[in-house]
Amino acid sequence: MNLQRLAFSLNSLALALITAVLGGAFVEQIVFGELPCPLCLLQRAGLIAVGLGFLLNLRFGIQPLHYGVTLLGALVGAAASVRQILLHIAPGDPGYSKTFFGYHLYTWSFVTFVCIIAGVAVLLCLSNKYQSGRPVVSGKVTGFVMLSFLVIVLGNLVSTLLECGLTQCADDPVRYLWLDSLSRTFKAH
Amino acid sequence: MYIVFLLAFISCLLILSGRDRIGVTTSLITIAVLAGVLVHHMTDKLPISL
Repeated sequence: MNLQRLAFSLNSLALALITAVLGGAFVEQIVFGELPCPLCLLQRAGLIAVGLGFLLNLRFGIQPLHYGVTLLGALVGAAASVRQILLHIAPGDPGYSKTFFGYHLYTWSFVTFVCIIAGVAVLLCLSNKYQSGRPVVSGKVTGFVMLSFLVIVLGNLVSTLLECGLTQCADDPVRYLWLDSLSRTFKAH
Repeated sequence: MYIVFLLAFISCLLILSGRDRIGVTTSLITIAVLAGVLVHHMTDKLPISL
């Protein structure tokens, strides 16, 4: 396996992992009824921005510009995570939402973004000669991963509209704004 | 907040439909808007309601 092919496979794996993480967040939201806060949504959007860079690599071939998109997305996502960590850093503050292996999800989110930045640095080192043009491999698995990513982005768009509508999201959301409005409309009729 | 996901979805569609340059451009716009919304969340000073 040459380096270019390995880098392509790792990009595919990274996009699959991002899709899985976003899917896990959806499971928590739907199954356990935990509505995402505005900063949680920003972290999800950061992950999606990271995924856009990988998607560009998979669709158009590996280029430093695409890794730049990934790195910028990771930096903004990490900033949102740090913001939330700092909001709950005071002694005695229980933090927001549940913990997972002893840390809150926003802390794991920060760790993830740092790992992504490190991973992209490794991927940039993997190849010393970038070629623009068609991707190295374009199999069914990669196609499925790209389509799944599109579906999860659409899911986040719909979910955010249902939760916040066209206005600013509540700081500590407890209900879906649009879903409640719709149910009230149906009950009124 | 929806505007970030809407832009990301449009970026995905453009990338998957094979539009290279506009796909990169909309991805960068998505990140810029995301950063703007984060700044707005921290300062509450920007004249937006997203």
